[in-house]
Amino acid sequence: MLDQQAFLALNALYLKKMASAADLPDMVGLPAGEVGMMVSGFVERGWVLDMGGELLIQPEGMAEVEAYYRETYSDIGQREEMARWYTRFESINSQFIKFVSDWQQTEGDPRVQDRVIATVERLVKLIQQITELVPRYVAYIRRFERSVTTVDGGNADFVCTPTVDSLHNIWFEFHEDFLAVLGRPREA
Amino acid sequence: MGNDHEGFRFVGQGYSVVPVGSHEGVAMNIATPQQMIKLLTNSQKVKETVVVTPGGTTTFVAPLLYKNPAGIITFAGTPESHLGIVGRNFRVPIIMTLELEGMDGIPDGTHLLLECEGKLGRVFVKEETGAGAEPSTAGPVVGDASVLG
Repeated sequence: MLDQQAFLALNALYLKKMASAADLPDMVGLPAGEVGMMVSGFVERGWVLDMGGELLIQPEGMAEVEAYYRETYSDIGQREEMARWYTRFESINSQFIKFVSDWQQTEGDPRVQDRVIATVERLVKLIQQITELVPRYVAYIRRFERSVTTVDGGNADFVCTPTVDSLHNIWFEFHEDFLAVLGRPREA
Repeated sequence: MGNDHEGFRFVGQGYSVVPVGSHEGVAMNIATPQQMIKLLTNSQKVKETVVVTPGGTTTFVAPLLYKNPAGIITFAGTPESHLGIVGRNFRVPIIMTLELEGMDGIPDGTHLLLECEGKLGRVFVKEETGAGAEPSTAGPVVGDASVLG
């Protein structure tokens, strides 16, 4: 089974499927040299394909990540409180997707942007309720806080542009991550 | 149903995610993340491909949007979704919850034209022009030049 740091690096690729090698250390929160060595090992094992600096997870790498989720989280994922938590998440997830879609179609209406940010802040509070069970989720809180600050500072790209660490990207990755912890497939 | 696309036959309609005009491509059914990853390794092929998700899940094809596919067709979901949000950013032709008329599915290799105007998306199949006909080259037809830029 993967060790925790290797899981963090490979899971970042599992959630995104594809990422720049240069961006990966920041995504994982580990030194670049350490991440580079791990990535070399992943490539040697055929878990990751390096397409000239663009890293693409392979089915064998996905299987490694899924095995880690199963072995580490199967007990936590079956707790009733997690299922209840997910029901609450689903409700604000629908709102978030609607607000971001509205924001795109109103060309960044500031009132809609406020709703997007308020929904992210609700999710951050919700995530705080489960960080005792899944301590690495504090990284999502840090990323959300950083991107909210960037949006508040006037950089609207960080609402939902796919090529930066936007609120929508972080939300999507968190959703995928939580489904993997629960051991549930996506329904849509 | 009107058809302004000579040489193409209307086969169905659904929700258009972003109004980007009309674009052509060749259908490929992608049913699993593994198939999606295999396609991702061939950037040129992605650009020529209209990705068709035959099942009810749609989100797993979203990473393909980073490689500018010719289009995406789903049989479920709405533009208010993760796929819709990412697709709107990249201005890729996406038609969701397609209702086919006179077809049960879209076979791989079918030459398609996606017309994305307003909130409605229409799908057309290139008419066969007889044995020995040269296949057309997939690519944009009308619309925003930035789509494949």
